[in-house]
Amino acid sequence: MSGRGRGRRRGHNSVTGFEEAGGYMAAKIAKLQNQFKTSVVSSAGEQRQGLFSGVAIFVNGYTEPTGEELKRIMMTHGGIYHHYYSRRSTTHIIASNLPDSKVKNLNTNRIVSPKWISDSLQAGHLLDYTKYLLYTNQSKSQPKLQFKPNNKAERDSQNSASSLSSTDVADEIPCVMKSNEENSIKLNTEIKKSRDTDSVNFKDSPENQNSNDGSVTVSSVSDAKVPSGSTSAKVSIPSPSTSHHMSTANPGFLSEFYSNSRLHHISTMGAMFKQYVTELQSKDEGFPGRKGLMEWAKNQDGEISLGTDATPVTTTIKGKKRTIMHIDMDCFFVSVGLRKYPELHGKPVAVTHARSTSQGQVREGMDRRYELNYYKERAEKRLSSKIRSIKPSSPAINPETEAFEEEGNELSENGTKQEGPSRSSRFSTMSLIDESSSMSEIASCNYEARKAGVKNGMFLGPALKLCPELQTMPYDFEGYNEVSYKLYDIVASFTHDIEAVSCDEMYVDLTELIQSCRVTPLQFTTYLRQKVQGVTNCPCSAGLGPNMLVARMATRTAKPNGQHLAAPGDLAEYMKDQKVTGLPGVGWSLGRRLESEGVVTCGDLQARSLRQLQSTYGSRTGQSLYSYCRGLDDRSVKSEHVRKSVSAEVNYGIRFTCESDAHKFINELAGEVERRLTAIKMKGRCITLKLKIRAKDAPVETAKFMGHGVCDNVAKSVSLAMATSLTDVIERETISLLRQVKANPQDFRGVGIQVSRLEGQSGSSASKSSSSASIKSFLLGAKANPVKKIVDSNSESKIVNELTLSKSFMLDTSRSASPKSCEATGLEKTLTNKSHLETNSSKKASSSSSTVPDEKNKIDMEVLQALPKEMREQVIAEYRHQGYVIPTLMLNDSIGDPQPSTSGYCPPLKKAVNSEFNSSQSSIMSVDSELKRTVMNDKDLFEDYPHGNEDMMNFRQENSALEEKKGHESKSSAVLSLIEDFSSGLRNSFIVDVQKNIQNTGKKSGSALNLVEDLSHGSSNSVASDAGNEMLITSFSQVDSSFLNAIPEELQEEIRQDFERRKQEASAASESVKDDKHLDRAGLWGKMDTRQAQTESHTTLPSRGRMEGPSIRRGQGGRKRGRPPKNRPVWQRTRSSPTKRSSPTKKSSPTKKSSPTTHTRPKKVRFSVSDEDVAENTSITNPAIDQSSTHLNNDMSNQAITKEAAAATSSIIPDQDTPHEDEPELCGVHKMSEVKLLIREWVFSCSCPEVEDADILSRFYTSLVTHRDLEKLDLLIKFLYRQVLKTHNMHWKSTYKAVIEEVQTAMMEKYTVKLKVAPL
Amino acid sequence: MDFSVSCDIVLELLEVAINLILYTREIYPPAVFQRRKKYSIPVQMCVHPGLRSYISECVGSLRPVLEKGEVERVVVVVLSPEGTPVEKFVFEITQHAARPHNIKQDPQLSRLEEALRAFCLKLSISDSLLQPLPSGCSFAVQIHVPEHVPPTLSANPQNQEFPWVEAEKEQVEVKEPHIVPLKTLRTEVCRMQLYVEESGNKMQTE
Repeated sequence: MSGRGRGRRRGHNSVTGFEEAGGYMAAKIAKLQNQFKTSVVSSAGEQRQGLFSGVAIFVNGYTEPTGEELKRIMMTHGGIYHHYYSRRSTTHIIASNLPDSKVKNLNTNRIVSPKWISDSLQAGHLLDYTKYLLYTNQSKSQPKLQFKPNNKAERDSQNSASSLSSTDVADEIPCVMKSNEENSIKLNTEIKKSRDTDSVNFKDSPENQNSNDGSVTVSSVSDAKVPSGSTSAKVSIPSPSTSHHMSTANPGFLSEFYSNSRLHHISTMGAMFKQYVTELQSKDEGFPGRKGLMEWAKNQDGEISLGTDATPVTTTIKGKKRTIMHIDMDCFFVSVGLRKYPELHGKPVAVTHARSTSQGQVREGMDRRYELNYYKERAEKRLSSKIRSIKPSSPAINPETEAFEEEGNELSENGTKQEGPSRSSRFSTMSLIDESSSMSEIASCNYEARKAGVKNGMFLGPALKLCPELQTMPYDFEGYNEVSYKLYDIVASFTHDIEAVSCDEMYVDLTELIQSCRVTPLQFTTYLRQKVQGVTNCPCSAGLGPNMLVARMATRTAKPNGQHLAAPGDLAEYMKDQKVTGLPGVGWSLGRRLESEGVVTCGDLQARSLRQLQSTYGSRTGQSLYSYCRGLDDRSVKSEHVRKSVSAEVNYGIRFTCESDAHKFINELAGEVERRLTAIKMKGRCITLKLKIRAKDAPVETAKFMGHGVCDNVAKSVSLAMATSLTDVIERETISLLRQVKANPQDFRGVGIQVSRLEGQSGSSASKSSSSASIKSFLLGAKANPVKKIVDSNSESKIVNELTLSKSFMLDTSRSASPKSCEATGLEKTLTNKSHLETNSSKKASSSSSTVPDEKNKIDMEVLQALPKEMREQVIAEYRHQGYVIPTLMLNDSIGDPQPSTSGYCPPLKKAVNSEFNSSQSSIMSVDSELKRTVMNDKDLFEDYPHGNEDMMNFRQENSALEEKKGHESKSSAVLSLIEDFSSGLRNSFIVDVQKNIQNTGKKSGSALNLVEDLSHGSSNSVASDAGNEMLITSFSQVDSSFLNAIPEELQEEIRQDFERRKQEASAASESVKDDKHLDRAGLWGKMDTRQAQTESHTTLPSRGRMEGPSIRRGQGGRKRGRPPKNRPVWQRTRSSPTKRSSPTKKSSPTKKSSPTTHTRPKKVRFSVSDEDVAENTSITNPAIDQSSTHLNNDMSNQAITKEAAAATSSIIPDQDTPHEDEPELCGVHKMSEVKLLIREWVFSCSCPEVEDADILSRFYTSLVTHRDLEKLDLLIKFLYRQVLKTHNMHWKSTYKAVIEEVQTAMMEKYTVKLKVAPL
Repeated sequence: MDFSVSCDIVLELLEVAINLILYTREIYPPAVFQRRKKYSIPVQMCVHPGLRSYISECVGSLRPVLEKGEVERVVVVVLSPEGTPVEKFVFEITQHAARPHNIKQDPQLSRLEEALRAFCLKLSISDSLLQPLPSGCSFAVQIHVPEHVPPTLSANPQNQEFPWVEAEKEQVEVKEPHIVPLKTLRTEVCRMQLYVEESGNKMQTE
């Protein structure tokens, strides 16, 4: 309707109201309302104190009674009748029938049948309209409550035309909190507000109250029964709005629940303090309290010796008997609360959510009497059945686990471990409960109240009947926290043998304490209690006994505010008078059973034999009863708690309207469980869904507001393959469990998720899962890398060393060694394109003697730097042993050194020198070491050399010019040729220098420097400049995992990050290098390297032949010795593949790197070392390499050849990608289906296969053989066979035969057995 | 390299596989086998205590070698009544360090299980790929290890009860052999290739 008009009208209160658009309607409405009001006034005499005050109705359609009649009723009873529906001010729509469209349009769920009015009139008070709702998608159990604002409120709302629906509800609370200024606190709850603000009613916090616009005292709708004269103010029940925030309909329900649920709070505190104790223990700050204690005890002793009280216990204590103290705060909640309300001291006080004299309201669908009877009946039935049953189910005897259970603030069957006796009290006081008494539980009450018969866990209503002057106080969670922590801190200052039970209760093993402090237990207890009282201002009681049970019993005697020592001598005697219900594990139910058998005290129980007990109550329960009743308890004070389960359970306010509600709630609950699991760093493998489902015949609305009422408990659980703590998993599993429970979500009254079979996050606990977890960790740990191999096993590194060493003496690129060593380094994997090129080219140039040690040392430095000191030293020693000199100086400051590599590259140079003068090896070795040392020492000097080198500059320029011309693909070849021109000059001087050095072996130091200088021209300059890059590139995965594991976590992380960073830098650098050729440092390095190598190869050429043989033998021998040959090739392959991938000139395949001296050698090497090599590579590229290397010295011509070779190979073998790095492939495909497709296409597309194609195919097949993938081979051969058969083509058949022949040859080589193939 | 964890899986697979071979090749009467579930498929496990303990001891004694990654092959040799090998089921084992990313993709090891399942299934249909055996065959388990291993094997006190001995030559070589590849297992744990070396004329040796 004309909302706009009305909206405007508010501003102008014009006479006619016709000035604006919509003014007419507004004016009309105003007029009608005015009329209504005046007629109300006219019939004022008739007006009763507003039965319907606050209600504004709008009648729609025909009703019974009619609209006119209703109007009259409203007039006479303080209600308002609207002629036009106003969404804001109309509170109810009265109709007996409404079309659906109208219902939607009206957008309210307060469409009420007219019977509501007449019935209310009849009843004399406003009834709950929800019963009369005409249409609702809400369940009827959702209460809807209207509040009657008093006249003032009414007037206010009318005058200001403010919304009537936001009825201000205010009430005066009885002055429990009569603290400072206010005599009464006004709680003003706005309905609308309460919907979104955190439940005011939960918090009861005075601060929250905003008493605006003159807070109004309203009498609660439902307290018709309260005598109107009662001065104690009436409390309004939390205003229910459409979605009650105390039910699950409220999205924030769960968090709200957990922040308010008393028991949740308590239970988490218990767990929290267990954790806290553990923390305190781990801190181990000593026991600062002991000193004070001892001093105090000294004084005390003096007094005692003066003759007060001899301590008879001391002797027994010293007799190695345990002394356990059980300390418990006296009515904890109350004492803490009393700190805030000191004026309540000495009065009966109870802590509860509700306020005293509060009255529950009668809600639709609730039948309290029924429910209570039902409880009683059920409980009795169950009890009797238990008693009757011959095989009794043993009730939970484990108070600890129970303490972990979070339960709703509810009438729960299981009972909360807190107050055992409360169970019975509930039923004994049942008669005191009537329809309107408060069902709020008393969490704690003080001794004054207890005298009157009030007990913990009682409902407030009955308690008030027992003790009318009972005062209530709200919860003070912060206070509990504070006091608890203080308590624990105090106790922990004496000893750490603490077992936390809950926030206010713990067991302390005093045995050690009293011995070391030489005090009696009673002395200590007195001192402790004084201290606690002093610090927390709360009284506590302590019981002492030889075990936990007796200590606990003693506490009972000690209370309130006392201490008691149960003399250990006559335990059985002592126990005799104790009630059985005081024993741990004896709850209400077992207590009743025992009682029914005439067992009330432990004395009665002692009369029974163990047999008897066990047969009646089960073996475990029987056993524990037997020993407990004699005061025997061998439980030890365990400070470390192993949690058995973690759960979150809500049994309060669960009202789902549909399945999705339940799912949503479970999601939240699962989240809560996850939080708890993560908090204790556990994972669980068993998920249990616990449901409370409204018992069939239980009333829909529970006696307790939003409580769970009478329920059937359903639990379903599922075991997972792997422990989890993830919300998703828990949620998923729980929902599937929920589906198995075929129950109506509307009937759910409690939902809980429990995760049990816990294990640590790391999977520490036993059972099968651990194996799977460890497999995982094993696999993850097997980030194993080649570097590790070298570092790890000395033998392996030795092998490599040997290989490289021998090679370098040979001065020849030994085919086997170079690939191996470089693969072993694992460097290739992360090297950039560029660097591949360079290494390759250098290798091609038959320069392995320099590159091999080069790379070797590269590893050294990286790895060494990463290694822990001892390990590093070991490795260094090993290397020294091999003849390497490790730059020690460098190592020392390597970490954090921006260019640590400089000296790291020296050894290779030295090696090169070595090899050149292999005739005088030994002497040179010494020179070498000298050299190295000097290099190390004069690092600065060393670094200077490159700068002044003109040759270098020239070279660089030349080089870059050339490169620009050729593009970087041909760089390697360009480099080769360049080197020729360039190196000759340098070479000469270099050799001369070196020779000079040799001659001067005596005065090494000086000449060594020269040598170094020269060398640095050659390579170390460039190496130095680039070394940073190279070194950085190593990926983190290459760091030995075992080494990583050995170092602390932070360090690991650091290393990892460092590697990451380096990698990025490196890639960035190489990127820029690629782009900018003038600054091509990497390229330069490669060239230099090559040149250097070239130099060497020239000088030492004669020695080659001689050294060759032995070196190979050596290498092979070493390999065999070092590890099973099988592992090696695979490993190698893995390493080498990246090289292959990244190098456009195909040369990098391991075989190819070898030098050309003999043509027979490659083959030998291939089988011995890289027998898994893909056949194509070798056959095609070898000649090219040979050519290129042999002609290396000649001229540019070889460059072209190399290029061609590169092109040829790359066309055959496309870039391999990582996932199947070592799988053979046919024309770039390696997946079965793809290969098949390819073969099929090929067979069908050409009638006469080319010889080369057949070659490719057979090569592929043979590579499958060498690759040990016989299954694939078999399948593909069969496939080919079928394809060939289909063609009926002779050419194909012969091709097939040729292929098979090849395969069989390969098979014979590899397996010495032929493959079974179908003959054509 | 330490393969102590992964070898559990391998050993388990081997035990299952050996049982399956004995069943599918009908070396023992089907009556001594019982259907069990492994890797979520039915497999046949022998229930004869002697045979069972033999198999499990064989497999168990492999552990120390396998842990070091030193086993090249495990061979189940089917011997004709005359004692000559007619079939050799060769498990070529290549243990290698796993690639870490794989396990991330297979957190529940379900792919691994799938692979093992496929392996067993293939094995159970192997009889269709092989020629029938003469009746009265027996079997032996051989392992191929690098040369340096046997001394350490015999030195191991754990193996005193159930020692490995050098295989007799005539039990090693299959006459007129050809290979029937069965399955290649590629997992993070190991690579295992199973093929059968089958004698060309099993019956004639009779």
